[in-house]
Amino acid sequence: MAKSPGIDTKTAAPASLTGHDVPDERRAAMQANVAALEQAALAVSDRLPIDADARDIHAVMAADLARPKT
Amino acid sequence: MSGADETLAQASAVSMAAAIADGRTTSIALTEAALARLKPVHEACNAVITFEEEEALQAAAQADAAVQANAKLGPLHGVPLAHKDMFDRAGRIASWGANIRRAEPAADDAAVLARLKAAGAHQIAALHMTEFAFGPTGHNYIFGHARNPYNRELITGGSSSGSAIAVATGAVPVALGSDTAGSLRLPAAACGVKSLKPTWSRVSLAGAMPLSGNHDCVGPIARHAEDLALILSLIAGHDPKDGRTAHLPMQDYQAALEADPGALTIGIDEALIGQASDDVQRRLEGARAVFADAGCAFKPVSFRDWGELDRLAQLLQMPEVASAHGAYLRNRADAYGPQVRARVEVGHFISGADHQTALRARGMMLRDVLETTFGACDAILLPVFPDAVPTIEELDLSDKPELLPALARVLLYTRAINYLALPALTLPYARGGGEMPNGFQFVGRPFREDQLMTLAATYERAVSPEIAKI
Repeated sequence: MAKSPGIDTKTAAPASLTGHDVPDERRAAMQANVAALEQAALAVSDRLPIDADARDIHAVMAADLARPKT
Repeated sequence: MSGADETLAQASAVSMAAAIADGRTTSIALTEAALARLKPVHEACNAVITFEEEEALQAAAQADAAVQANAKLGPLHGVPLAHKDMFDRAGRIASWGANIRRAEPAADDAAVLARLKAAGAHQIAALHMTEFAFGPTGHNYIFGHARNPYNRELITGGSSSGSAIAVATGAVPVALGSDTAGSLRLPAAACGVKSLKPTWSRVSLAGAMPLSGNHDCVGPIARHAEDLALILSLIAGHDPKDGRTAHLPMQDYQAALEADPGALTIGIDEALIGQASDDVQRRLEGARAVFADAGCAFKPVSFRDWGELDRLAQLLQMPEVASAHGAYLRNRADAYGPQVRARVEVGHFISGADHQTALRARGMMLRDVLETTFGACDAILLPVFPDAVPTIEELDLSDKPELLPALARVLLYTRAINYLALPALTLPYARGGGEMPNGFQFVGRPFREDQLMTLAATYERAVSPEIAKI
């Protein structure tokens, strides 16, 4: 599985944080946390159909509510 | 206040409304008692952001006049309540537990408060919460940390900290809170009361402080199962002001209180439960025995990858929080407390693609959990806290690097449930001599809060609600 390049949090802050400084120590802790999250996104992305949609969850919930009661 | 009124002041909201309606007490008497109780509670535990004594007594007088006039009364007529200070109220600015808040007073009441008001309830105070509801412990560097009513050294859990304190101490029977990663469940567990996190999209978020729209849920904290059922029946249902709310039919939550628990099957994931401390596992086993005695069936179940669900929850939640707070963080960073500021920053380092992956995968992941993990089970039993309730001091980590892993441990059993959008009932463990409160949860199927109400009522028949002595 190829590693996504993502944002290099060692050297660059995202533009959405322009003007806000994140101290190095805290950034390193975040970087470790985010790296683990990115791996989860990669793993899920590999098995996620291209037509999966944010609205799917509503259909899944409705179908479960409608399932025959045992 | 008479002895009968004292007793009623610590009763359920359902009982209070009945007593007001049939003239055994008045709304004024109950409101004065609630205020008298809440003041020392606040001094001891830091439960309140704003007292609203004058308005509450005016509303109570109007409620009593309506009784005298034989007016049609709602199911909460004259009942004094208090809620987390995160809901819009016409003409007011909610604090959101923060220094930064809306610039203008709200034009309308939040949908949930409007519904409770229509049912006859009034509000006596706006309650403490974690800053921006973004923290699971009850720490608040702006308004001060909340303190547990059973032991002032312990956290209350958050972010609905004041709601749990006010209910646990008998100041009010019910308080609304919210849950984005555990914020109804953790405070209820830490303070020894019940809560219900509804299915995501079951209850309107219109006028509630936004944090992570794909995870946020509003729900009640209460001592009595019948109050959870009543409040949910009032606040649930589609709201045109919140396009996400489901159009699906509501169950009869109050009838479910009398349903047969022997018809329910509960899933047990031994490996997941095994990540909790030995003491938590022992207490959970005690809770399980209550339901076994009541006739519930049990089945072993297994979440395929709980850690993955928790990481997906973060991928969805953190960028949504970061986006909501984007301008605040860039322009008013100094107005944040250190813990919340450090956590808000995280979402800026998660890519938009990864956020979308987590969002698009949500239906697939829920389907897998329902088919593979739940199977034929109606609910899954899990702890709320993985350990004994921590002290305020040990989690007073400000913005240190240890903060994220420490909070991840607190959120071990709660955050993934928000990703799955499932409802969760929190119940307190029975307390042996000297034991501090803690709690467990039943995670239900989508929109089956009725089954959770059956479990809540079943438990209450064996384990009576407690009131913390202040």
